[in-house]
Amino acid sequence: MRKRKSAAQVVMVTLILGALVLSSAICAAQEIKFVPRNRTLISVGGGGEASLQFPDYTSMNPYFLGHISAHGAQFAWNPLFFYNYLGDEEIPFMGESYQYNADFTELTIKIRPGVEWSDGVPFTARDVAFTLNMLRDNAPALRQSGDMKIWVKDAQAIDKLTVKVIFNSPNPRFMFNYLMPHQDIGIWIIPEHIWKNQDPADFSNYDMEKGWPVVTGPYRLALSTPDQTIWDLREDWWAAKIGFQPMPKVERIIFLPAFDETKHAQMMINNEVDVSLNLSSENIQKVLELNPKVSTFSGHKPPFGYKDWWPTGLGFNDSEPLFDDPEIRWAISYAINRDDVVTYGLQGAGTATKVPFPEFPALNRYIDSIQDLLEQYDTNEFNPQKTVETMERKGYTKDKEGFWVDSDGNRLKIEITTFSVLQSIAPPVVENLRRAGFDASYHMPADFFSRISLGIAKAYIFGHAASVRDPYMTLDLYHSRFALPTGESTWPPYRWVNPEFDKIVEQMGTIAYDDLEMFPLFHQVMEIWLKELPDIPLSSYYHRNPINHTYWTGWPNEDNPYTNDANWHKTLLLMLLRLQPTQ
Amino acid sequence: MKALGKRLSRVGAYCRRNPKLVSGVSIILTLVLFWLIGSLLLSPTRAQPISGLPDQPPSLRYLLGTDSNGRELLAVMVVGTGLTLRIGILAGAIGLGIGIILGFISGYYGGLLDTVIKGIVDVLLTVPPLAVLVVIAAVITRAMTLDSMIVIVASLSWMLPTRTIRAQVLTMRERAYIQVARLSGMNSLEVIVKELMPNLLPYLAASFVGATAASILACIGLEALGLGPQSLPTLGMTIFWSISFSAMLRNMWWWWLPPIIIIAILFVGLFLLTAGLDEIANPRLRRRM
Repeated sequence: MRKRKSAAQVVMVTLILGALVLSSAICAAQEIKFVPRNRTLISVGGGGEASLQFPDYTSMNPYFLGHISAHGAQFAWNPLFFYNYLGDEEIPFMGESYQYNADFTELTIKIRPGVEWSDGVPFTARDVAFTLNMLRDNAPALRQSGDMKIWVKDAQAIDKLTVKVIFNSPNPRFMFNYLMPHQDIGIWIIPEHIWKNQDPADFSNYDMEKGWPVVTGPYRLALSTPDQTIWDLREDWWAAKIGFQPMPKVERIIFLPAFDETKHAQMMINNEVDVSLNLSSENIQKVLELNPKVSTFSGHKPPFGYKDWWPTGLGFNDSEPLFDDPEIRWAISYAINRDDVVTYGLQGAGTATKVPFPEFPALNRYIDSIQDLLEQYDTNEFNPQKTVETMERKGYTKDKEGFWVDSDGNRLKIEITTFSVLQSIAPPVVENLRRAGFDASYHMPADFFSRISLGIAKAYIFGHAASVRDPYMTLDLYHSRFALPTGESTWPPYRWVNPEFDKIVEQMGTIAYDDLEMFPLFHQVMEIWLKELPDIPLSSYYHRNPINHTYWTGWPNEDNPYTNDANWHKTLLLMLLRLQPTQ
Repeated sequence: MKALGKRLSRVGAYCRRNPKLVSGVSIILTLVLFWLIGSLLLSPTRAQPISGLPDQPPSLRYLLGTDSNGRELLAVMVVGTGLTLRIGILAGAIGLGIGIILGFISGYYGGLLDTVIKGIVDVLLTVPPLAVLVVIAAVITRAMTLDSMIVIVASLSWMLPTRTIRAQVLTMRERAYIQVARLSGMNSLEVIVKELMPNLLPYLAASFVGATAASILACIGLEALGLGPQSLPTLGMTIFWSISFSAMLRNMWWWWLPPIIIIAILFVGLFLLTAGLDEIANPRLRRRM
């Protein structure tokens, strides 16, 4: 009996010791060097996609379809070029120059000498060609592979520092749209010597012992858990070695997933984080009031941030009865007071917009060129009388409660779908419509995106990102090739059909952004768009990212707009290169 | 005159004997009066967005302040109290109605029908109601209206009344007066309507109040999660908006506190009412004066 008991004790002690050894090993593997707080940048929220935890913390494959978290992938790899939309400037980085042939069927890119991967292997044109061809050959299994299949006939390394991309059809915007990161878009060039023997649709690119991910950026992954990722500065960054860029002063970056917005605000008030996902206009004002060390892109004054490329509008499934009538769409537009949208929806810290483009420096020259049209078709005009005239002309009458009804006595219902980010805009819009006699309501279902893309949501308040440097990308959103029948998923979701509009947009797609031929075409196409109004412009969208000056200074702002301060955008490295410690 | 005086003194004596009922009725009546008088004095449009300046603290102009979308919160409380009571009463009535029908059928007739009804009720009672309500509310493709909210809440408020009414019927159907009624030629429907129901009325009244309270609780739970009728200024939606707009962080106590106070008062009133009605239904609970 005693023997059996002592055997059990031995087993127990062995198990405990084993557990201790195992946990020590895990701790050792996760052990990271000490970096003081005043040399650490803490970022919370990313793009908001990862809530509470990073579900993909063991993935550093930027092309997984499910790869969603901005926990480092947004700056791990250097791009060939950056584009700073705030100053309308191209910033060469790993690339030195690029050139299209005359008909935009070929693109030749020159690469900067001296670029190296983090494992010491030289970065060459072969890596660029490999990345583009790999994506093309793996469509549709990888992110952006579908686009590469459409455009890339072949990508060839002409020599170590020259790559030629041959297109299936002319594309004067390929470089800008795919190889010049701005906002959330851009293709990262990956190392051929690591990826060539892997299945890219199954390759996690995450193995700390092997030094994966192998990157071109100045930081290496030091820790990745569901709760945080930590990136540490590496002293052997190619750009510092060749004297192209100074070594960043930020020695460590910690990414935390998104929490409740109130928690982001509290963390910022308590100086627990340096940069956060954007806050609502009401919360940012409270944070600024409670912590004088915090500011925004526009300082302490409205709009408490910068204008994003995501103008907000009241969109429709334009193929459905009622909303398929341009006159009704205009009648709805006349019923909305944009001042109410700004005052109540944006707490006074924002602006209405007349066009579906963001008013960026490069786009303003286009917007200026259609001022005559905007006077004729004033999309911000609040004129309930015109609503009444249109509705009566269309044969509608009002019932006892003052709502428009058709000849059968059916009320004109407008059920608006939206989501939490735009929850403050929906109430004033709906109330304006109700006062104008439309039986309007709104809701924020969890599956709002699929409802809008399926066309089940016939009216929706949503935004769209597209144009940054010229209006083509936004106009293409309204092309009829996306107008699938209701019930079939499509994006963009407008389902508007106008062959004349399509024709001009297609023509614009073959012309370079800086070609003067763009302007008359833009005028023509906007005349059609404004007359038909497939999507009602409401307001500009602002990123109100709080930035904390306790540990770091040199943040971008209105006076020094070298980039924006979005911690999830692919231009984050531009900001990291400028930050200076305060202590 | 003497008779009236006697009756009044009898009512007074009963009220002294059942203070819970009196308190409960008084509280609920106060809330109903708040809603009725408020509706007469304040236009319901003032409970809608863009009615006042946004984010205003209580003042002479806005007695309970305004929220970020410009709803006047006093008007919101008035309209919201009415809407919340309406949802609770209607959903409770529907739930109790279904419970009465199924409970009487199950308890009186017994047999296979009883087994099936009892089985369904037992299974559904084990399912967390809020989880089911969240799923139902989330899959509805149209914007949530007051009517759809009532139907959703009622859809899970009938099981408990069914079970308790069945239990009551099971005990009552064996009593002598029911046997006598049967022997005197009454058919089953007549026995249920003429003999069982009148004797269960106090119990049904207490069940109704309980079902109403449960419906209001479910409704406020759904609304506070953002699954209620978002265009309507109900009490639960007011809490949802105050959370969404970080009213706590922004020290906007006038946004989140009033609906919580009204909800607390409402539940205290309903609890006292149920307790008072229980005393009527259950002689063992009655107090002697």
